[in-house]
Amino acid sequence: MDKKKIHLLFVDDERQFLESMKKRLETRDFNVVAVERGEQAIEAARKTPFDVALVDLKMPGMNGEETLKALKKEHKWMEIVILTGHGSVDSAVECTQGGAYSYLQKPCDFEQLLEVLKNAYKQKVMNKNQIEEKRMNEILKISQTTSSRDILRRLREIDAGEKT
Amino acid sequence: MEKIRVLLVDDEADFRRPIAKRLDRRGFEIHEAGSGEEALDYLEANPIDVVVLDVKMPGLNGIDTMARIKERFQGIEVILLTGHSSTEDGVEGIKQGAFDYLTKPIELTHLAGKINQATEKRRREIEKKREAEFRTKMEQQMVATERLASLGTLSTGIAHEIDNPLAIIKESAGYMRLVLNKDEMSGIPRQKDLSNAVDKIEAAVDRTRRITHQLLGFVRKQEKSFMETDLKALADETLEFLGKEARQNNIEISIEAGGERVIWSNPYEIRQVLINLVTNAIHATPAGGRITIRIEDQGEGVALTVADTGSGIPKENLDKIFEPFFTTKPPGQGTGLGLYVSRGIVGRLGGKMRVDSRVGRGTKIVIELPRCQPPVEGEITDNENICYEILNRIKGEPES
Repeated sequence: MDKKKIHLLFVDDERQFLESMKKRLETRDFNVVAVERGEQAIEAARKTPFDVALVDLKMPGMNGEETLKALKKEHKWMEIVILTGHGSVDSAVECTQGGAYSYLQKPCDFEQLLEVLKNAYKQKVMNKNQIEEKRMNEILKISQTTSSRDILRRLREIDAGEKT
Repeated sequence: MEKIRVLLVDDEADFRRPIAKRLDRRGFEIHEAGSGEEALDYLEANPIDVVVLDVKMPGLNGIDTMARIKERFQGIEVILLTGHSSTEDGVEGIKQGAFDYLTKPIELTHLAGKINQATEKRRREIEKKREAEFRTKMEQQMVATERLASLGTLSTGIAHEIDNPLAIIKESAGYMRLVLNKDEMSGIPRQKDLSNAVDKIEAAVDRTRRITHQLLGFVRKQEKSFMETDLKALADETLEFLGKEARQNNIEISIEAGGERVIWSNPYEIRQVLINLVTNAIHATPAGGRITIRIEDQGEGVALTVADTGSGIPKENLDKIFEPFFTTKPPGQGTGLGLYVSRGIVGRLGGKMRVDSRVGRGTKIVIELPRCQPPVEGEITDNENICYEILNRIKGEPES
């Protein structure tokens, strides 16, 4: 965990803020892909896997809530942190309901942001491990009586079920 | 439609009362509590669907109350209300499991809408849980069936072992008959009795043989040999095979086939099932009756139906007919394995088998078989691919 770099997708329409944050984060064990629009974020996430995304709310085109939901839908393991200059209770609630890991408001202390991003990454790893364990158990449960073909069929069912 | 039961929890009666009144007028069943502790006591004794909870209360605050509600009463949805909202509290509330977090002053229509949504969510979850329980039950049943099947494997071994001494008994009985019929034996006392006893031995051996053969047929090594399977052709073959018996009993068998009737499956096994079902139908149908083999294209799959105008199956037997060794035929005529074996086969082919029967009217057995495309590139056909995909799925990687 310490040696491994965290892959971060960073979306913000303020180019200057984006550039400087990218530089600062890269000195602190992050691999950062920085984009200025929600649509580009979706594109980028389809190309490479990210651990965590840091998403601004107010952007031209696709806004932060929409970006959050689209990213969550396609990458259920990715944890997403919202960072906004225009926070409100309603949007905080909506983002959390939409699966955001955390909701931070600018200006935000850099060390605090790092802390949250790292926790989000830990959460992602933990979720993944838990699910893997659950699946292993599932397989152990059914493997005593079924062929691997049926196990696969069952797994596909479970996946389909989880999507709903 | 039942009224939605709402518990409104707020330490300020001046705020709580009017809201309770107005919600009541909108058709909710409203109960009130003045503190978190009171709310928990109330929930101990009364069923509630949704709790509307003030965050800032003396004593147990809203967040702590919610934590206890979530811990003790599964499935109750909580909506938090607050006069001093902050984004942190909002995020925290939702993460702790609140359905929503609303800021005072609240719009009554908005609150009513949220209560309805929360109830809807709860209803869906109950539904889901029920489904999951049902699935688990089904799985347990399947495991039991599989156990029986492995029992079958065991019996196969035994069946083979039994076949050898059976052959010896049969051989010896035949020899005894030969000896009994020799000239030098004519006139021995009680020859008839001896001859009858030999008959019985032979009949019993045949009966035992039939049982072992059924068992053997059930667990023949499942070398999945899937191929293009023309169900109409299989029905024709079955008819050829059993037509004579039907004609002797004055039963008319017809085949109705519509649409695409070629599927990708195992023709030998399907034929075994068909022969079994049609044989049963012949045995259950009186002279002058009719048996219909129907093949219907259902898009996703194909339905294969064997319907007879026979005596039907009494209700109390309907759930027993698929059990091994259940038979209504006189001893020595049926092994009680036919339908059990058939259902095993259909299940392995990815299909379903169901029965629809009325006493005195007849029986219909419907088999739904998947169409199963011939394997294409990337399909799960070989073990390597299967294992690879299983691994990826365990890891939760997206499919590439």
